[in-house]
Amino acid sequence: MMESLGDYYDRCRASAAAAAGMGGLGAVGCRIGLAALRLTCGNARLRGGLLRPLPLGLAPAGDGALDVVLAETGVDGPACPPIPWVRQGGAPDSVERCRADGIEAIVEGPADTLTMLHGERREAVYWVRMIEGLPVYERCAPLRPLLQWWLDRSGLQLVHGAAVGTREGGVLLVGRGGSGKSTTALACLGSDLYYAGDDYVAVAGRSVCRVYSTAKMDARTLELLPHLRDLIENPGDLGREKGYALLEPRYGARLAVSMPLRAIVVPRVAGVSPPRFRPIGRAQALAALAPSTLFQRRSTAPGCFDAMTALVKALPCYLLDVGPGLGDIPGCLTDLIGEAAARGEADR
Amino acid sequence: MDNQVYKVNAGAVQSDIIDGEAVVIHTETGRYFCMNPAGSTLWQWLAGGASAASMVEALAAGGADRTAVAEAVGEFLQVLVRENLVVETPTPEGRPAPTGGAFQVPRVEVYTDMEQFLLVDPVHEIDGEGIPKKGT
Repeated sequence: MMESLGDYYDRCRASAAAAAGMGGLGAVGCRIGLAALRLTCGNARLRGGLLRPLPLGLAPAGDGALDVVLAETGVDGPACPPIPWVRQGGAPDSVERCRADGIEAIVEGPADTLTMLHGERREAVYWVRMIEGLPVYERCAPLRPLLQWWLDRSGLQLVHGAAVGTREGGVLLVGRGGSGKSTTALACLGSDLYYAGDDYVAVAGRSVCRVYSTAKMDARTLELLPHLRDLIENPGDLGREKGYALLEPRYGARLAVSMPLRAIVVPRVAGVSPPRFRPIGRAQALAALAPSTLFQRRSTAPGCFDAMTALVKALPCYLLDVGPGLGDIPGCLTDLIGEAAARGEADR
Repeated sequence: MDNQVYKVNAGAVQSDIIDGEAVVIHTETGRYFCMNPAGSTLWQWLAGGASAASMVEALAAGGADRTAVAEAVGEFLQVLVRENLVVETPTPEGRPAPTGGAFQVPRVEVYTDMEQFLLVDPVHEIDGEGIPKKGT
């Protein structure tokens, strides 16, 4: 008789917790806006490797945090109990999602990970077979399905976008892959602007919160931003896959925890120099923000689309034409933020 | 044009109209759509239960050629049906649509550039017989 998802969750959690207890590392905290997590790892590789991109700090006290236990099988670690359902995805590297007994589970074949959330108990389990085997997208943006679930429940939305800003506030850079939003954000590193992410950020009302302090770059982007090359953690993989960088060691003072949003910006590679911006229709901004966010979600949330439309309706929207002169982008965005902030004051 | 009524495929479609332009997302196909103001008006009327014939009547009321209006509305609806944004309902009569202004051709642009998110990396839902519940 097949095991229920509820019993399977309890068994996985107990096994992962036992390994974490033996590791003796204690818990570490992660806070994104009002969403708090307590993360307990089974080994130092998880804590010092997998979790590094997250905003970590002291483990939160109290019952409001999501209590996550993380485990790795590795070479000599505990094996993850076999999943109790019949794989229906066909290919072994498929992604499968399952809900039962108040638990949400997702198996990511390409990353060889299992994530389970017990919403009622505010608990979760994350199990990875081998950290070394994780694809770049998981190293750059670890625990994304789990964070998406928890942020949904905490009043935030994980969106596909980048964010940079000044002391006056920030802009949400949106658009599909290849539109230039990540390169535009990375071009601001080393300037006076603050950085909150290049691929995924959390939005709460009209504020944006940093989720990951990483950057993902292909060879072409590195040619445009050569000063970031020495930060690449996987130089040997360039060409086969994107390189990724951990930004905290060099740019920690410029990594924003959160910023009020002043505008939504849709970058476009237009070959112009210097870069220039102009207002655009809000429907165009929504079309740049919503589809890529919704299509990359691992779970549906009825409020996600509504939250994005509310954001687009509340903020001025701009098109940013960029070209080869990336060094002019920080100044251009500073001007844009100033104009957007003035428009916001005038509209009140 | 017959009196066919359509309804939005609410289980798979999310949409909003901003500044007169509709942005529509089909969460199962990975396609998204942008409609001009005339198309957005029809989308709003469809959501209100208007029949195809009543929409043509309303748009032709301002003096536009009825045949041309019917053809334009028919082509627009064909796209919506083909893309599974709307489904036919068995309701025999739809509610009359409000009278429209000067006729403009309704247009819908289809974007397929993000289909790969769902095609390359589909999420398979396991339910029903795939996973037993506690206590069974």
